[in-house]
Amino acid sequence: MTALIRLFILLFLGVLFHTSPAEAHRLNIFASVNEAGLDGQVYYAGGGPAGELPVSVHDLDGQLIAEGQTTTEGTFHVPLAVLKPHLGKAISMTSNSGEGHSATFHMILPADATLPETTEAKEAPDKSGPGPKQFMQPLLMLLAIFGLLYWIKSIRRKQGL
Amino acid sequence: MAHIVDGILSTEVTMISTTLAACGVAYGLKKLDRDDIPKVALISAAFLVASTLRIPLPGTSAHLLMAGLMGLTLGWQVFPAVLIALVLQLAFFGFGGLISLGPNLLNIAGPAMLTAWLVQPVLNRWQTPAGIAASGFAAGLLGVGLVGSAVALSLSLSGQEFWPTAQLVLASHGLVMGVEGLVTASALALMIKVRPDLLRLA
Repeated sequence: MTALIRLFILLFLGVLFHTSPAEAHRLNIFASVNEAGLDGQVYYAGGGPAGELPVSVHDLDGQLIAEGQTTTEGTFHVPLAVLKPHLGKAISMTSNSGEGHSATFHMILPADATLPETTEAKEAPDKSGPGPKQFMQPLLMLLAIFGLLYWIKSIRRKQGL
Repeated sequence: MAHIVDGILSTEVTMISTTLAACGVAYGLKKLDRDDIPKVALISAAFLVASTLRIPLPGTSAHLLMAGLMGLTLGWQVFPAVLIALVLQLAFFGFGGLISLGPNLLNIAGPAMLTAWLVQPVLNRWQTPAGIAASGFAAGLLGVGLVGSAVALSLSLSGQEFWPTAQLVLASHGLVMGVEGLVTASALALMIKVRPDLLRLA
């Protein structure tokens, strides 16, 4: 019985990542906010980029915040300075392929995003992550937490709990 | 991939995930024996480092997750191990968010448990070099796949479409799945040779 459940789950995973060709022209939007602003991606259900499509960003009242076109890679960017009045509020992004396919993506902008001091183009965020030296403090803290846990468990063991 | 920031998930998804994650942490702490703490700390530290260091890829970046290895070595103890690592990642590197801590924990520890449940019987049965390599590779691969699915499920339950989101999340980690499979297979082979007691073999 357990083997059957495992087999079922593995089959489910196989189906999960299978893309249906019938959905190849469905349009989708995905976006996230970082310290440089809002970065979005418009793509077809098959995973291909939806390049040079109109995309617009609105607030909850339908007021236009920004509009433009996706790049050939299907990406778009809204600088944080443009989003500043809308931080902490819900926004929506809409793109239309003009073939009867459109997509809308809703998100709530974080309220505590760090704003750039000027509206000039910022250097691209560092994607390499923290260096080895920066791990010293968190690892020491981790050691302290587990040390505390060890001490608590030792006391409980002595107490016979 | 696995570090969803605050404000993305719906209140319902956040509350349910946090409740489930809290139950997992409570049960994991209950099952945590004093003598297991050095092992849990070591795995937690490895997760903290591995999932913080980003592998630069063309146009994007990705990181290891170690979900499969954590599930096979820790069992329920994976919940407190990942919780501590996520809290430290949030405090020191700003990864994830305080409100989304519960969903992030569930999205990593849950798949780790599920991966272990699926792969452990294979590992118990075939403790040959080929069996260990295959189990380790499968655990690494499945771990990333299931974490990606869990993240996509959280996002879809919060209003985004599941399939495209899952594909987008996994597309950026396709290469990492292979790397994670190799890392997990190597780690398992080493553990079985040097410290087999670190694994929960039957």
